[in-house]
Amino acid sequence: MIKLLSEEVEEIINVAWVDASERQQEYLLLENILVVALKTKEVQELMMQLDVDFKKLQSDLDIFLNTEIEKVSDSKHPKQTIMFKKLVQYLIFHTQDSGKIAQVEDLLIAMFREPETTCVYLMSKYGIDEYALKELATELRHSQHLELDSDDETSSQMQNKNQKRVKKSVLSQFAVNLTQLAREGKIDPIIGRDEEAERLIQILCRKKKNNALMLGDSGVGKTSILEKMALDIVADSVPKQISGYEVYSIDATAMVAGAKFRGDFEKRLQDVLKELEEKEHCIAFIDEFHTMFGLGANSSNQLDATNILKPAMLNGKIKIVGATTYEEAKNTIDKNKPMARRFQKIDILEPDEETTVKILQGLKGTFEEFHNVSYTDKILNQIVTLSGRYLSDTHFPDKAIDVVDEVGSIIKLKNKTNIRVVVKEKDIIDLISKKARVPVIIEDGDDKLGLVNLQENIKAKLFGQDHAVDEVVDKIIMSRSGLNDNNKPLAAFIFAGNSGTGKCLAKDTKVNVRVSQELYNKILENRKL
Amino acid sequence: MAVTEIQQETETQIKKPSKYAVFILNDDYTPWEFVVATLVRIFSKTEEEANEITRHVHHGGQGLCGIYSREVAETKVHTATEFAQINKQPLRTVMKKV
Repeated sequence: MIKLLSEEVEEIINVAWVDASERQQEYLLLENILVVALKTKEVQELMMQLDVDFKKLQSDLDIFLNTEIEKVSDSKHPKQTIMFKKLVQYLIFHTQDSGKIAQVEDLLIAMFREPETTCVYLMSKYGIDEYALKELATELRHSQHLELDSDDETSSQMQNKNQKRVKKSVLSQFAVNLTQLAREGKIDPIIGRDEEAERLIQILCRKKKNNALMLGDSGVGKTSILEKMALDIVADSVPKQISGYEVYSIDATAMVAGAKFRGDFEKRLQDVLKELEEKEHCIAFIDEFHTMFGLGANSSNQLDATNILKPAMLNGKIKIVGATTYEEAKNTIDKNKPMARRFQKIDILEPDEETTVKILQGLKGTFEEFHNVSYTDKILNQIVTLSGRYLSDTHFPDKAIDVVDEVGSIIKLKNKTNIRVVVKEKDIIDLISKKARVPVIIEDGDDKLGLVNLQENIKAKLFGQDHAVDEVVDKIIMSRSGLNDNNKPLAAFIFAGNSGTGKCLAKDTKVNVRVSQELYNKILENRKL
Repeated sequence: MAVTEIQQETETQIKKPSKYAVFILNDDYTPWEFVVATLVRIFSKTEEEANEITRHVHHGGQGLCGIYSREVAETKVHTATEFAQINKQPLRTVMKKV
């Protein structure tokens, strides 16, 4: 016959039977099984992992069995109750279903089949619930798989211990400890942003509503400010009010992922908040704060993540720092007045070119190491100028760092040797041209555009429109002289005239000058009206 | 709203388990002696107690055999019913939440 119950379970049942007969009970009760099970090492370990005071539970059970259960004088053989039969039946079904022998944790889980018993009542009272047990049992199974692989007693014990810790701290599951990362040297140095960091600390040191919301366009370094703070805390260069604080970056997506049932997410969030509150000296950083709006809520109620955060934020026990962009804030936080008032806003502006260069100088070391290249200061300047001019849809310092990284990667791929290569201007020009899909022109005295002979060149192809050509060439030379604003297009022209007079030809002849055909047509049409 | 609901649920979950009263119901066929025997065998009553309860069954329609935890009550009802069936008696035993 196939074995259905593990030796431990069989042993527990046998001892429970003896226990029942010693207590002169008429029946073998589930409480007997639990009280005996609590004496075994396996169950005690489970209880410890669930953080349950099993000794108290045991004494409560003893009191129940001694006072509330009828004693029978001639009870040599306690009888089985229907619940006991059901329990065993359940265990056997479970074994057949799962293909694994029923373990002690299955025995405990099976007890929850019968909710109206004192053992379930007492277990619930001490914080053991069916779900927690099932979760723990699943975890144990997984670790047993690992154990089989490693087959090493000590390492498996270590694993169990580790798991215990993971189980206990939801914070480590759903948040990244930035100060820890800083201590381990995993955060790149952050340059600048002193003012904003100072303002952030001022806000965090308030008595109430000590929550900051960092607003800034994508890529300006909102996250970096928090990283900087973590670095400062580790280096102990912060005011004493916040020295020794831990900065946790809360990962909202991790909290949502795997939240199978309604309420799972909310529970996780609350657990995290609770743990932060208990820990004290914590700063919770929620990146992309706008994602918290509507998170966990269904259409009918308004109870989303922000409403869970609200009370915690107001009483000042937890310091929360959010970060989001202006655009997202407009649609979420600004519309939610109660939320907005709990936050002190910090505007994170895009750094100017000078600061960006400084940031790049601070960062270049890590990139040089990673890509085995080297950047001269001149190149860094060049990168900032060019990315500022041509990559206008993203922001400093992100876009400049992007270029630094990408150019390094391109050169690394080309570099077959181990020798460190110096980044050349041409590499950057090529990359930025590719990124912006615009040819990049550097004015360095050379007549790359052919500006000197532009007029003649055009006139050689285009006859009879001399006055128009003169005008256009004038404008281009003016703008190329460096007098115009770098953020504006080189020049915009409207060629107006009747059809067939050669407007398009005039446009086509302009090498390197981009005129939007569409816009031009539109204007032309307007004119017709 | 939802939160309060959930909290209520958990509160009810850890309420102390209720006790159950087990009754023997009167019928027109089961002999007096058999009811007494059931009470003595299954509910561990003395002869006098059993007779007293049977009197209740006979006159009042039902007789209280005892108040037990659900586990015990369930088992007692089951055993008593089984005992009656084996002996071809229509005696009914029921349990009610106290």
